[in-house]
Amino acid sequence: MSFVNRGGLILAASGLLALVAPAPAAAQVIAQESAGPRLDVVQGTLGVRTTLIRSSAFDPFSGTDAMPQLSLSIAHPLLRSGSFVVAAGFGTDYGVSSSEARGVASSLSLWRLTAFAEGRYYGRSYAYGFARLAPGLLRGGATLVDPSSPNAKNLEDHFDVLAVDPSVGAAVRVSGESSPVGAWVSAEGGYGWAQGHHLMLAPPASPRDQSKIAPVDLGNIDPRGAFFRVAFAITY
Amino acid sequence: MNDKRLLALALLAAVAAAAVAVAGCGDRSPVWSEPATIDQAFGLNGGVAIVDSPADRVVVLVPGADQSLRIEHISVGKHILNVQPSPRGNKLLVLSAGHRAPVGDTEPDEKPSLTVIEFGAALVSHRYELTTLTDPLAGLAIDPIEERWVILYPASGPNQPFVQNPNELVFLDLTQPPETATAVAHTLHSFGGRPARLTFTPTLALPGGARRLLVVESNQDLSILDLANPSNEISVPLTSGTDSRRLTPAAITVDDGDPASDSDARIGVRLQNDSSVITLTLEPDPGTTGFRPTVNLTDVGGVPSDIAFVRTDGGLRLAALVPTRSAAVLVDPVTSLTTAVALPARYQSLSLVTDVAGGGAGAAVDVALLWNGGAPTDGVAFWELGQTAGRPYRSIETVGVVAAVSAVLPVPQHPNLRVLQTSAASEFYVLDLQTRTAAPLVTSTTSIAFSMSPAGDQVWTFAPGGTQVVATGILDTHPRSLLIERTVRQVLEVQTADGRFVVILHAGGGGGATVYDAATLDDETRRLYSSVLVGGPYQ
Repeated sequence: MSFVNRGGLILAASGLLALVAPAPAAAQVIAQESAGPRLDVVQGTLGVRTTLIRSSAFDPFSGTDAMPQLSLSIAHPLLRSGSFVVAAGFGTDYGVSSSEARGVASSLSLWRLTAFAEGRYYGRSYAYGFARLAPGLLRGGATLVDPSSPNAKNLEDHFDVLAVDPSVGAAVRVSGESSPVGAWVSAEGGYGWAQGHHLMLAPPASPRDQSKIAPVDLGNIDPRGAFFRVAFAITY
Repeated sequence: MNDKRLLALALLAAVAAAAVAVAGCGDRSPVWSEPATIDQAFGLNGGVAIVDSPADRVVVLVPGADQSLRIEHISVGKHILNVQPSPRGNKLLVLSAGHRAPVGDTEPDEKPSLTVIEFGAALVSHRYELTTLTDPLAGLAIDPIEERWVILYPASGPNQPFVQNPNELVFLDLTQPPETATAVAHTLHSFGGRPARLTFTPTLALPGGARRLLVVESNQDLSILDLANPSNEISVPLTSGTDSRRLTPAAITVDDGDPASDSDARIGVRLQNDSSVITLTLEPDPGTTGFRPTVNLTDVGGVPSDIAFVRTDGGLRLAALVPTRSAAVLVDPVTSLTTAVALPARYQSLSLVTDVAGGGAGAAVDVALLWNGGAPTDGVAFWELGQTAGRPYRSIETVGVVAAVSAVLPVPQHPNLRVLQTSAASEFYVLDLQTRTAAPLVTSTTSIAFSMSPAGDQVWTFAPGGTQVVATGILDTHPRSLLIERTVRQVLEVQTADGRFVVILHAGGGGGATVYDAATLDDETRRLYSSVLVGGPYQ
């Protein structure tokens, strides 16, 4: 990633935060006199997440460092105090990166299941900024489709590791405010941390044959890095 | 929707776009996109070396206890040109062209280099930078006796330099460390030829002192160089100035003569396109080399297929096999007188087996093994040079091998044994030179390949591309087959600190391997490996 890209991101994020920052004093009085942001019962989100995985053991599975994933989450506001809302929910991200590693078809799937707590600040009734902490579990699966496999089966490794995603973002309501169903778009950035795992891929084999088949050592993969997510949410 | 909301949405879109842009960053090494193929593999003392050219590296498989496999990656210079194992099997030499980086190239500049990988308790590599070369010489010849000298020479084929001097040789002394070693370039005094073969002689007693020579055969002349001082060179044109034909050397043989004499070392030359053999006697000369070759040309009545200096009861002779005459011709190197010996078949190859089939080392007369006959039943024969004079017919003893023998393979640790590879490749023999018996082994397929156990107790036969691998005991000729699931590319037995192992390499995919304990050949303890070439890191 070039420095220009990083700078652009920072500028854009700053602008977004400025938009959801507190309004001038006069408007603030009006907001405080109102009932605050409407407390929706539930928020369902569908989005796309991209995680930058710099680990060299990710190279066999992707031509770039990017791991795209589909994101789904559901949240419920728990507390409200003025413009602040605390919500909690569950989220999941799933994606598969496929490539060729020295002529061998390869793929890595990552499925993240998290429970999250989220603090929101509604600078406007149609926009809010948020900070989220999402601990959970990451399930990974690596596959090589290697014709040199002893029993003509794919070489595989599966792993489950702990994960946690701290992130910040902002959301803007795109539907009319009078409607009971709200439509929102959001952008979010953070760091997706997960434990490392030593990739040892082997074809499935009966217990009798397992001692004969040696795994392929692709080194230690650290499936963590900065991530970005854009999402579309429905609130009710 | 008000303006501020639109602005907020625009900023969200900008963030998303930036995220997408960032997602395209961080390219992996382009080597990951190159196929992994086992094109060249060598069994060396302590491991199997696989040349991974796209990755500019050598992948070394070191078998260990319980048929485990330690995989090590040795980086070599960029753009591999030539790879040769050392004759003793303890080194692998990799010649690389390097990289000349034009302006704007992100790949760093790299000089041509020779990487020497030493196999032992640990793998050690040395990189000799060939700083005097811009365009590399792709030919690589290794001194088979001391493994001291490496000579680079121009090779033919694609991707050669725009202009190259075909007579340029570059000498490198491997006993020098890379920091101080200097590549010495020397251009042969050519009469118009191009080097075709390089032969390193053993130490010869020569006028001016014992030394080793390099004999370079071109397509029309011969050059003799002092290995320690290549500028000491003598070039010998083989074509007479009055003859429009170009006589092309086909092979040479060298003899030191009487160890007590420094004026009787000889070089024998056979020709591709003439019925003559040439004897060069290296006699004293006051010039810088201290010697000069005296040339004798002798017609043997047909184009010879093989030559060797032999000791007969009549003295030293140059023996030439002449298949068109079904005969061998003995040439007296002093008088050029010839003696023809009729042979029972049109044998094309001979090798001396005096050490084990004759009177042993230092015997007064030699015994030669004749093979590679033209007919499918020619087999092999022993030729007793001691009985040659006067009684040539009785000096030949054939062995009951009813097949044309195409190659004779030595058996490590068993100097009395040879494996005879047949032209039909559907059978092979284990020949005992002492008892002069040959045990046949028949295979169910043709086009089989061989490799020899370094311990010398078994010969490996396999059909490349098939799944049949058999180890045949050299002493008991008992065949034992292995259980192989994947197509075989190569079979290499190696000795490591943990024992003896046979590594069967499989082509396709990321490169597979099956490792057996070579002592037990137990199917239950074999281990199967996949994608041995896939692992990084890459440069």
